[in-house]
Amino acid sequence: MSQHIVCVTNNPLILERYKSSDRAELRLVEGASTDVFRVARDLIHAGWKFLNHPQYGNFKPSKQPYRTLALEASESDLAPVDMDSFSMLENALDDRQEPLVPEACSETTQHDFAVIDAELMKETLNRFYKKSIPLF
Amino acid sequence: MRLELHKAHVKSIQWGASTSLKDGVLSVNKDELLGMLKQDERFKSVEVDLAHPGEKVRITPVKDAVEPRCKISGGGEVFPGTASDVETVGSGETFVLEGVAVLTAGKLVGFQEGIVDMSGEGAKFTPFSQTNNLVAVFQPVEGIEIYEYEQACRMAGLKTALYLAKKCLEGGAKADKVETYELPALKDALAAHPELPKIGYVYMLQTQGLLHDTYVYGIDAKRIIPSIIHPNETMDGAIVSGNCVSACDKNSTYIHLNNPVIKSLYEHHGKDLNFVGVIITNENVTLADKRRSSAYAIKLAKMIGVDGVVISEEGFGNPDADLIMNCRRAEQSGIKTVLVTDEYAGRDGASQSLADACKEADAVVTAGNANAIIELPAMEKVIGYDEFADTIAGGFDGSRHADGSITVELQAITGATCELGFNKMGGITI
Repeated sequence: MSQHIVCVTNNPLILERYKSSDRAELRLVEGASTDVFRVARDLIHAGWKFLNHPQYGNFKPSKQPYRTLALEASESDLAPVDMDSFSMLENALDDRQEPLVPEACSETTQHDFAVIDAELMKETLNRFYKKSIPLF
Repeated sequence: MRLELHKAHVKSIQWGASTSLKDGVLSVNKDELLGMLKQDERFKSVEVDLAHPGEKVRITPVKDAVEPRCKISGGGEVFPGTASDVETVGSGETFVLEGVAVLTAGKLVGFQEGIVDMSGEGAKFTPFSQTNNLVAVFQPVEGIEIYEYEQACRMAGLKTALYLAKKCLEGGAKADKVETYELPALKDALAAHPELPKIGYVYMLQTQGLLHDTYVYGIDAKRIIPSIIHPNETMDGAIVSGNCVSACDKNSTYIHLNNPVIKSLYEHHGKDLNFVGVIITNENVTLADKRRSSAYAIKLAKMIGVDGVVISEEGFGNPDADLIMNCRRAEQSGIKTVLVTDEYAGRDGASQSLADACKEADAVVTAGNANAIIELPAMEKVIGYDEFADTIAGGFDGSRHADGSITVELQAITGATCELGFNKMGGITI
């Protein structure tokens, strides 16, 4: 596995702002925030670890249509599941309300949600990804 | 460090020919204030309005609340590094217009930020229904970058507060009361009251990004490692809010200036505890940053040699992880903890309250359940824009009804579940 960081997101603004590199992959997921979590869960079951906390600050997962998660590969192909990441994921998923999908919001609100998601992830992503645009 | 707060009580606020305080009535020269605010070219328009306790007025979306203050003596000026030059504050005398808040409002993003009702059911939950409010409503120029606009709103609130206090002081306004706050240098503080437990305060600041940021002497607090601050510096505006998400438990600048945890620790100082200092720390998104800040903050507490700490959180969700990390590390270092937080326990209160927990967190103060539903009656006047009620944090589709009434979670009410205890909910044992 050559890329050992992966960013899973349903936020198109993340793909506008960043580019994949030799060591870090950007993966766009179609759908709701819960679909992003499902992709992350598969990675965690395969031994990957979260780089950012999967709980949003001040949003219920069902109230923010976009979700961006950064994960790091384990050094070994046979790594056990990282229980801290597993536990954080399960807690973050413990929201029984229907997720808000981007299409349910007006275009302006979609954009605002996308900006807030990208801004929250900025400090994390700036460390691992090349920027497509220099102005932030 | 010794600070005297010279507090002039304001009974009401009105527009007038000059900005001054007379017999408890604050008069504000509207044209002069607007002229100052409109100097910022990032605003397309600025409107100002007044709201008093008991009026049928709704203010939304509220970003920040600021108490008017300015220095009389002691060096520096309030809001150092933001509205004023960077100079150490927290000593000397500070003039305070008590009973007044400057509220900033306007669209920043199409959701978030808060509601302040001056009467009705909602007024029972926000502390800013009890203050005489000067509200500034902003519209940005086209194409402005959102960070720039946030900064413009933040600075406008601080400058307005500073302007009001300075004008009144220059006009000869006198304080009705003087409060004195003093803590000695650390070596003397630690030697004092040997019979009492040495208590510190771990003051968590929200720092996750746009609308979630806090500034210390003008520095974005996500870029600090935890540090020691004198409690008096907070009373002179060393800590300011970068506007609000979520409204119920984001600490506005007004609340940083009047932090009830600090006030209470001062009240108990020398009686049943020895208050030795404050450690500020942040709440980041990246897990490595969380671990670094938590480890460093608790290391500072150990270096000082405290027996116990009060830890207050700001916000919810992933900051819960910082709160619990701080608690666990402190307890495992032999430092007792009391946590101050709020709850997101679902509308029926039956869900898990925090996103994280640990068995060491056995002394926790709650500021209430932010998911509780509240019905806000229609108001005769709205200052700002209420069309965001459906998408505001704590709102949902159908929150705003045709008659102007609103059904929302408490999350949408500014300061409703403030995790510094500057809110109106509470429980007592009888």
